[in-house]
Amino acid sequence: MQKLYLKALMLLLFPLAIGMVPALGQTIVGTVSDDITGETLFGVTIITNETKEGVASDVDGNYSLRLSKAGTYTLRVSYVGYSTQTKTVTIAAGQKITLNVKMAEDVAKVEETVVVGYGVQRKRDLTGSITKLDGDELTDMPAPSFEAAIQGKAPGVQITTGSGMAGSPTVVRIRGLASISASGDPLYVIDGIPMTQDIALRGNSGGMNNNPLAFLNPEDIESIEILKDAAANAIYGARGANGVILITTKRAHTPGWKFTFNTRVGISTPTRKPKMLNKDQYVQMLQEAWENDGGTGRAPLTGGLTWNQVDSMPGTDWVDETIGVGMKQMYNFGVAKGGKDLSFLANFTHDDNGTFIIGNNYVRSSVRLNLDANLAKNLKLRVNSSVSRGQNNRVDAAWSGGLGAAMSTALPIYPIKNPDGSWFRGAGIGNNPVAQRENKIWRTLEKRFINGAGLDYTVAKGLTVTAQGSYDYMDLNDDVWESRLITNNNNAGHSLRNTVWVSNYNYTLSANYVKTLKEDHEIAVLVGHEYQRSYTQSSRVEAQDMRAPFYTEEMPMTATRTKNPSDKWAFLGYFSRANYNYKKKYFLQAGLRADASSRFGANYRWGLFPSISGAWVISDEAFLKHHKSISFLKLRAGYGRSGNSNNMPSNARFGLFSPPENQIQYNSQPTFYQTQIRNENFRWETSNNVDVGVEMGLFKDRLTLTLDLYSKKTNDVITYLFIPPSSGFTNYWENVGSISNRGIEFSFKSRNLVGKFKWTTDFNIARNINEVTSLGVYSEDAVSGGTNDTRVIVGEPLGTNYLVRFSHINAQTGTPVYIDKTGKETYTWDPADRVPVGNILPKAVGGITNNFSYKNFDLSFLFVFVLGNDIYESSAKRQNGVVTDWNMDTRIFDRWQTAGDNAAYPRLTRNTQTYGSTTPWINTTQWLQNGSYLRLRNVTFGYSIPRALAKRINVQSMRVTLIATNLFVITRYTGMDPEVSRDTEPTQDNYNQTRNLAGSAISYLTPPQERTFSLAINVGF
Amino acid sequence: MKKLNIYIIALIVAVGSVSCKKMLEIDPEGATLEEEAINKPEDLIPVLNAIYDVTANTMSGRVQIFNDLLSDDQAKPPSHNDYQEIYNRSVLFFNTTVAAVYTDLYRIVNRANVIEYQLSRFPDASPQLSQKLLAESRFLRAIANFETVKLWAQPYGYTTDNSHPGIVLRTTPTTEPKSRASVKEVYEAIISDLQYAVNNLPTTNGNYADKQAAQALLAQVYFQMNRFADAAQLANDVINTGKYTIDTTQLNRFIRPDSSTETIFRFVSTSNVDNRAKDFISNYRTDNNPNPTLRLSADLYTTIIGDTLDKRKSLVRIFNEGQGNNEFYGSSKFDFDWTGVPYLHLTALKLLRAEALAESNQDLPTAIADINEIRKRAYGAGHKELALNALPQTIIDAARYERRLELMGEGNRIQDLKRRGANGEAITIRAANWSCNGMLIQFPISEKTSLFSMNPTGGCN
Repeated sequence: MQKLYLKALMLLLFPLAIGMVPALGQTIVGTVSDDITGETLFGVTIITNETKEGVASDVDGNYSLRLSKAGTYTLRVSYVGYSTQTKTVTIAAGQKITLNVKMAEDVAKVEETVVVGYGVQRKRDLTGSITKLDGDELTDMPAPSFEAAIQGKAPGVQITTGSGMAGSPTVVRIRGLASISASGDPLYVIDGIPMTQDIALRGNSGGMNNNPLAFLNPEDIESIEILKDAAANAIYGARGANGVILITTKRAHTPGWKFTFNTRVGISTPTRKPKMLNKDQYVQMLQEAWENDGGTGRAPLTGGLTWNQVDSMPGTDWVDETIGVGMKQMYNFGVAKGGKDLSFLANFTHDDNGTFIIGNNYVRSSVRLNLDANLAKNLKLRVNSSVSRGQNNRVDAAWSGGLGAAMSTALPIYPIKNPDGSWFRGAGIGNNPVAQRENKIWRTLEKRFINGAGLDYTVAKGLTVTAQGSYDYMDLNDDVWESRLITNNNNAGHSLRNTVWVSNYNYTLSANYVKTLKEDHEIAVLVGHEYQRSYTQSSRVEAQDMRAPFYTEEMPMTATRTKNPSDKWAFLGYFSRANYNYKKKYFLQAGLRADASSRFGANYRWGLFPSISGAWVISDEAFLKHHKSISFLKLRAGYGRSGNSNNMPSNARFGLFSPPENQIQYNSQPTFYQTQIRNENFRWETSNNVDVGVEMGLFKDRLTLTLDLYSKKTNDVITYLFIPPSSGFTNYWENVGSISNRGIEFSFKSRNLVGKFKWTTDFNIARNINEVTSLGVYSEDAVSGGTNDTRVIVGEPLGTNYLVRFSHINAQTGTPVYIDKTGKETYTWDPADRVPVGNILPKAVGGITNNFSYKNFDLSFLFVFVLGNDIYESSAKRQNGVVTDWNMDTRIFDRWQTAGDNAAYPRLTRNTQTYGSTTPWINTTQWLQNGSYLRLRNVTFGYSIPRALAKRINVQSMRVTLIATNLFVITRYTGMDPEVSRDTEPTQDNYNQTRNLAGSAISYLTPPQERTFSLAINVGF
Repeated sequence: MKKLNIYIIALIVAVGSVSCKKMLEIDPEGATLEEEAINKPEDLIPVLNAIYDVTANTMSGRVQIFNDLLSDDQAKPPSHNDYQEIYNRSVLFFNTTVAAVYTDLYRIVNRANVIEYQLSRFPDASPQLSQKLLAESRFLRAIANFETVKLWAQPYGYTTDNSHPGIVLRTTPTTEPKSRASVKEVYEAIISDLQYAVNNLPTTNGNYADKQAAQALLAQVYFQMNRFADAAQLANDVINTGKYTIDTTQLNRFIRPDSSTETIFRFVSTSNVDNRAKDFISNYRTDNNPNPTLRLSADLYTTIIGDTLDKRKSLVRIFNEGQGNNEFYGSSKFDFDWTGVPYLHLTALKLLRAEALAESNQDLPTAIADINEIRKRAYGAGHKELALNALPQTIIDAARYERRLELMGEGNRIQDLKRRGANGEAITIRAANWSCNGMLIQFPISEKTSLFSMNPTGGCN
């Protein structure tokens, strides 16, 4: 079948190919091989500097470059991972010259380039801290979204995969966290456009936030660059302070045609299943609580069931009814053509990402076309175009039902169906996750178009002017249909559609000037201007008496439509950067950006973001040049100021009055009142960064090391405060408070074994120390992290747990003992006794990858680790606290039963007073646990077929890989999965806050991560 | 080529210098921009109406209930955790019911400040309109500050110089955190607002505040400060207008405050969906609810029914009579579907005047006449009427007794007790000293800043 497609495509493209056969003329032929192993190299580019005529070596390393004119040429021979060579050849008319090339591996990566803000620099020349990941590092494992695949690979970048739910967002933190109520996420820039990245476009409906990055096909990504320090990210001005992730999509690089076909099929299972009580265990606990409270006879039941019914039925394992095995399949077909004047790359991908949650999958289909054309000698056109369709077939989870209900209110005594075959709804349909799933159709469909075009015009030697415009359009439709069993209405059912449209465009104009003075002095100057505007509209349509969702049954005239107020914002910036180096040994970079935004108040319309940094390649100095063991040594240092204003509210700066349509009257007369007090000082948050780094290569770069020390002091933090109500208002957006992040990052890459049996190790570890240094005059309750009692407290890490301390269970009475504010033991839970406790942020994060290869086989392990953090298992307070309408898990077996018991959990009770509280679900340190873990994130075992075999089956390359993710985790955490980020709740309609203050440290019925097993086949032809 | 270069550079310069303002000025949807909200002084009239609206929502029983829960008039509410905290005199800073009332009280202040601030933009506004806007909004701001300081601070006279912490005073519409002003400063601000209102309000003003309303409130303020002569003087000023007369047949002014001859100032309800007494009704109503949220103390109930001639026993109701712990007492003063709220009325003012005159030992015949007028209605002629030569203390005792019963449910009792305590009497309320910490309501937690000190807790139980 696939072959058939291939043939059809070849046929389709054949006429194009004919046109490209050149006339006979001058030819250079030869073979390209590795200078040490002698292996021939496939895909090496040989291109003339003069005419840009080029070709790539074939599978056997042979090439044949036909030249249209006789003359002297400079040939540039380049290959990824090898040092580029230049050869000068003089060829006469009709001559055929043989030129064999031996390529040397570029261990020092001297030539490697890195995408920086608004440009490209040699990696060796960098003065800032940038981590680059190649596309293949993102596609070596099935990840729900590309950013999840960064985990463990970039020092100082903490990645927490959302959960096993398809399309849930990943939490990405670069060098800690310095934001409270604005987004703490980095800025994502794809091919030059800061993309729409709001996780709250669909709220947290169904127990999940929508991942706005999930649309992006990892197969499209050429590389991502993570700009970590201000020397690198200050060029992004008011939006760079949380780090910038630059995503560059693939383009055609090598001359000639290149076809690729990749497929991956696999299964998804949970890393861990919740161990809920079965019917008999639950009944036993319920009865025990009843009797502990002095009840006689059998305990009262919920769900309208009688004891006779419960005794006679087998009970239900709701976890098994909601968790299954998910199927995954991905197909990607790519075609690229590199040419003298026109190059293009097209990528078609279909990715069906089923999860272990029954009924849940994310299907992404995407097409990309990237094109480069030389319109004239000095005018280049670049086009990036992508269309994707992400269909998330949703089910309820977490607090919203489904697996979440299986872990809570779907009691094991409830049957799925009544004896008469109808659904059991005695406890409400939400507590019958199967009935709920079968009576609800839920689909979130995201259509995303990101298109851009740019022109590079070389005005004069060294001076290039670039103009680029991009458009990022998102159309997000969330359709829910619920049957009458759910709506309880007397008609067929209810359909609801929530739609969000985000229209986001930008343009950039820049000029770049490069000049070399007297050989030793190189200068480069960039100046530019950027404007971005975003427009978000949303609406809601609903109708009764519907048999299907709106996408299958037509919307009736009776449907009610509501249009929400739109959200609009704009950014305007001017930027410049100057680079200077002397003898490629001493590097200096200075940058300045001025940013303005419609979101900033009149008093702070423009922010200035300067940066200065330098680097010194010490190993090029005479005293080190021929050192035996030190092959490379570079010192760099930088200072810069960058800002963050991502996801800050667009309208907080305005003084507002009630809308004209306000219906409130007094004495039958209209009223009009202020709804928001203006804040013309509202602005970006400012981070002052210092970074010092050492890069070192030892033993001919067999071992390369990087060490970075940084300090980031953030002021004017954007905060959505509970303000003193004596102002007449309860909440206010204000720049208040300061946060400090200090840290160290270390990574090394070691080629332990070279030769036939190869072994490399990549290791990175980062430690970040976070502290809130000021919150102005405000108290610890002025900013809330949602229902989990995380707070902003001076002297503590951002989002610290703020809990009443639990001490132990009184062995005589079985009741919990707390510790009051003064340190004394007490039996009363009082919120006045809350204290900052725990470690909301990890002490260290990192990863270690080992790659082994022998002949055509390769094996790779990626371990990731998070150390020294605590997880607040917020749902456990209800699972293993006061016996209510929640099921318990098996940890409750370790409970107090009789006097003298030393138990982990108190005596069972249905009475909240027994635990010294007036409310049943109280936050205490009892639910705070060490969340450190070491996880085998990814194992791949690959086999690349030998060239000879490849040739026989008419392909250039073929590789088969077995991939397993999340095989095991080592942790002391007793909840589900220590890699957790619960859905972000709105705190006074603000989602950023709970994401920042509870980000990766709170679990609330959160589904576990996926464990996947896949088989991948990659073919190049 | 050169030409193209010039074009390109010109283009960059042109695009780069497009009016930045236009590119960045994006107005919000779904609200009115402050710049466009008030274009002329008349636009502030609906803003003034919005102050009445929020004041009415605050005095719809919410403030009155807080007061009564602290007093000896209430039994412990069997449900409603937030009310129980107040009754127990141990309000936690997380009490959301308290926070909501506190916030609404300051919404009154904020909206009054908005009027002042916005009006300053129109120096050419007609003096008549300016006076109306300022006088009415200051009257309402005075209500807010007065009610707030009574609940959240120790009473006037608690310290000799009244330097003890009062509440936050605000005169501009800003959000900046502030510290507490002293009780002295708070009362000065209230008096200043009310004096402006007295001097600038018309003598009739439809359903809105007039001069007598301001005078009656100022009389109450002085009375609360134990400034009896000033209080009596203002009460005289109001009563002597002759506009208001005691309704000799109606014991309950909540029945029809719109037409009652006693009403000096009221909050207007226009229909059952515009019910400005809704919190009185939803918490107290007994005629259709066997399980009202709020119940009367046995002390108050027995006081009323203790005098068989007291007609006001029609305003109380006994439940589960004789059933031991299940027996409780409710109020039938608020047995309506909807009604208005007579915030200032003649009965209160007459009893105030009587007590104030007696306290300042002047014009005792008027004081005695005031008491007897009320008593005649309450018991019928001849019963408990004061002798024409009654001593001041007798008048005072009578006034206090009648105030408790006449103003039942109107939040009066606790402030009378605190005022007397501050005046040197030994007052005990439900076995606790009148000035114990918990007798003050705790501020909502979000008021707490490094500038602001919360009320101390405990000490009452």
